[in-house]
Amino acid sequence: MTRAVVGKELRVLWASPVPYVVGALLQLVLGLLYVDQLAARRQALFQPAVPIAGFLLLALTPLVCMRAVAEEARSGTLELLLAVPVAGRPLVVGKWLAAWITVLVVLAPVVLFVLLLEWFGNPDLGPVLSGLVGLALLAGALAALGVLASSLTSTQPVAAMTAFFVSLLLWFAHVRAEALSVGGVMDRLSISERLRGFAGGVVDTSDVAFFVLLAAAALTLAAAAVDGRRLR
Amino acid sequence: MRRRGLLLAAALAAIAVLGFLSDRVHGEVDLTAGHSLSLSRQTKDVLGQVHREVKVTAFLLRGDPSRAQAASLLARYRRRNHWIAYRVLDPTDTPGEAARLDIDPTEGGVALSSRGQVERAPTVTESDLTAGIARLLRHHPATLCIAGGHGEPSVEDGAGPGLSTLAGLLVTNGYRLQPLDLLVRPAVPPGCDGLVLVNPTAPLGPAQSAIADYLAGGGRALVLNDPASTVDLSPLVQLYGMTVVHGLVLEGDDGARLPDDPLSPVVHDFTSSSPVVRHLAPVVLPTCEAVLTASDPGRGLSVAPLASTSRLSFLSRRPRDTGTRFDPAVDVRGPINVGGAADLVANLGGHVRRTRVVALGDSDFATNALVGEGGNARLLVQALDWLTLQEDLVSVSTNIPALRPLSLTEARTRYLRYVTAGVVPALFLLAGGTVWAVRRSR
Amino acid sequence: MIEAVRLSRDFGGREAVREVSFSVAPGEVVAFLGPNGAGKTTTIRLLLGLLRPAAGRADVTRPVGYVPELFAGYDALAVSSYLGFLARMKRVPRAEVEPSLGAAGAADLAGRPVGRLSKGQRQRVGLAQALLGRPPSYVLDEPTQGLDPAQVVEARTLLRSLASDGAAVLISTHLLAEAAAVADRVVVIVRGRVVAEERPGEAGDLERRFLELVGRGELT
Ligand SMILES: Nc1ncnc2c1ncn2[C@@H]1O[C@H](COP(=O)(O)OP(=O)(O)OP(=O)(O)O)[C@@H](O)[C@H]1O
Ligand SMILES: [Mg+2]
Repeated sequence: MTRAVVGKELRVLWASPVPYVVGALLQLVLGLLYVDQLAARRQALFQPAVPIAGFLLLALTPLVCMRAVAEEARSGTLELLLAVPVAGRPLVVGKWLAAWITVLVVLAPVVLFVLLLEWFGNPDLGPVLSGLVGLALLAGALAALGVLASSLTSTQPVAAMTAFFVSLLLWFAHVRAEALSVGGVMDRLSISERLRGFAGGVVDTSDVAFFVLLAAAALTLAAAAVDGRRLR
Repeated sequence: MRRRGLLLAAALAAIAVLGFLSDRVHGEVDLTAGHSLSLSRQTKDVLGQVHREVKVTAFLLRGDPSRAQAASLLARYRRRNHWIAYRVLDPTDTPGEAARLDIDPTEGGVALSSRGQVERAPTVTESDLTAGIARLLRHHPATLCIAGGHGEPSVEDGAGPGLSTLAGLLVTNGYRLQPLDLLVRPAVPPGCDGLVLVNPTAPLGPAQSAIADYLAGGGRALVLNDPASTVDLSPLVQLYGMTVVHGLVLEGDDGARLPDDPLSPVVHDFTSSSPVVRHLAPVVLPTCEAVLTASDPGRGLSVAPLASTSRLSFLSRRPRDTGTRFDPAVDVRGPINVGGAADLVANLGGHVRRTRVVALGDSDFATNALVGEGGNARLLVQALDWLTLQEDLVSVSTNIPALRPLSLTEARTRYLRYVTAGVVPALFLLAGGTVWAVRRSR
Repeated sequence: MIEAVRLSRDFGGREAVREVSFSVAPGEVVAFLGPNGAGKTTTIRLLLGLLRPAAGRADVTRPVGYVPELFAGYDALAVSSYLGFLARMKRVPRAEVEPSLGAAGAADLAGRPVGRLSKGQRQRVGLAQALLGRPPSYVLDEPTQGLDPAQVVEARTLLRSLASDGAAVLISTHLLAEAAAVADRVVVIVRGRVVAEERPGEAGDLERRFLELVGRGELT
């Protein structure tokens, strides 16, 4: 069931201009900013690419996810599925997987950076690997937030903006008026702080768990929201 | 419906509990080549002893590139032990806070406080932080014994050649100072965590063997030589792989000396990764001589050269005769090494003794007139911090990431930009355009 | 078997359906007849569990083939792959897609993207989708709208054959002729209430009766 949803979502998504435009934008901005960083530091580091790519994902993943449920609710295809009845969970999980895969594909050319680093220098592949793992997990969590936002509305732009805003709050959760960080609950919720460890080369189980649980929470809520569209 | 709501709430609560647990019980895998992001064993040992809140306040300018690194380092400390709380502040935003914690807002630094006790460290590096926390944990502040009685400058002297500024600096850094008159009583008391010997001008006599005994028994000493004195301190440091070579360093590189003053090298080549010279601003060393370090020290001994003058400098062995002219017969070509740090581990009577000596070829730089210049003060504090730490608290072996230079020429940068920001996005657009065209044709 | 028992529903205080009761037995085609805004679609969505009734109960033998009022698909997908996806959702073998398309007169549309279909073509695909797996109940919201006369006739034949295979078929319509032509029984709904239920054969002049009923509904 979920597999069928993933396949259908991927076909619909990649027939739209969204992934191509998102991919072009992501790679363009990332390429410019990252090469600037390399030129400034003159070190074979993948590390600076991670927060840049992370922030770009923050802005672009909502665009990939916005149509997930909102568009189906608006066009009426969702009603057909709910009448079958299809449960919220496989629907939402399938849509999330498709969005995640799409974001990963769009992100995949960063591997090219690694090849170029290998060519011009001798990068430490450990942090490269952990950075990629971190970005993949971040993409998964952001995609889940995007699907959640999409399941709460029938208007795609509203879904995208909601997802972006919430992700932004989480990204800067640790930033207080004057301080960069304090030991508290809020900075444990900060996705940028979580990403930092991955960027540097450390894979911490608590950071992995954070992204996984964030995605799980968002998907649970999204499935409930879809089920809530039945019997209103 | 009600039941569904309850189920949903239960699922979310379970996720929250899992999140909390994963934060408490967690492990990490360091994928960096040198495990450079893992805290060293010593740091973990020190953190294991922290059972009360330690507040770390780091002052770094917002634009400081090391700010992010500092924050992630602090995060690692906190993850290891939740008693560590930290803030990273911009000192210009919070001058009051900086003043309260006695941090110079222009220099930055880090203050560690616990139960009203405050320790300071110059940099947010693992060695500094761990040392700072160790000092907080240590119930009494380290005692520095200041050698006197043989013409050394005094810590009470507020004039130019005196050491009162240095004394004040050491006290703010958590040291207790105890002046010794080694002429009256040639012995170093056991309570000395470290000995500071600054440029004695009268022969040491029996004091010399007192100091040697102290060092042999696991003592720590900062030895500042000076060309102005005829007293030879080599015998004290030779056991530890260092030799003081008398003479006068003449610096020929305009970029490495005070303006038009070949006698005042400004040293910025810190050759080793020793914590003594880490993150140091250039150090001004007027009239200094050479300290050579053994390249092949004996067993249990490691010696690191600390700083050297430029390639255009030389050590004049007989400056009175030759002036500023280089005499190939006797003079030594630069770069000249002007300091060393020695660390000797010896097994003495069944237990381990650790001796540490830092020797520098100059003493003027520590005086009131010059201690405020460049990295001078910081060099002294870092040297003493390194010297006086007890073995279990020492973080010399912090894991340092290797440099990985990238050979980027102008052309290669352009090429990189062309590929990553040009070709790749273009391919995406091309793919999109193709799909669109195919769909339109159906 | 499709059964509505005293179904009521309002939207923000505005009554849309009030105590609607009727039933469709297996083998029967029932037309749900009413003017625009009478509450036909609302009743159907109540029956399918897409809306929560304020009172009453709906009972439909599942699975149920459903043609919504406005049939929508994923514009980018070909008709056959869209139906293939729906077959998976309905847990019906994919092999059912082709016969369903054929039965709905949409076999020639299999390779076309849904977004490019005409209104009538869309409607046929919607019908084909409801036929997937040949369920025991059908709920069709205005299934013949937009079809050309030949297609309408074909659709009627199809509905009748479904009923004769033992399915319970409910169609909504605001067309009198449609109801008369296909249905065994007509349930007339006006302003959210069932005002009459009769067999087309029994009431002689259905049109006059209908107008009378609608008029009466508007007076109350
Ligand atoms: N979601 C909704 N929110 C508010 N009002 C609604 C909603 N759905 C239907 N209504 C109202 O309920 C009434 C019945 O609508 P319904 O769609 O059931 O009519 P219908 O009989 O299907 O009409 P038509 O022949 O035009 O399709 C109308 O007044 C409509 O405005
Ligand atoms: Mg309707």
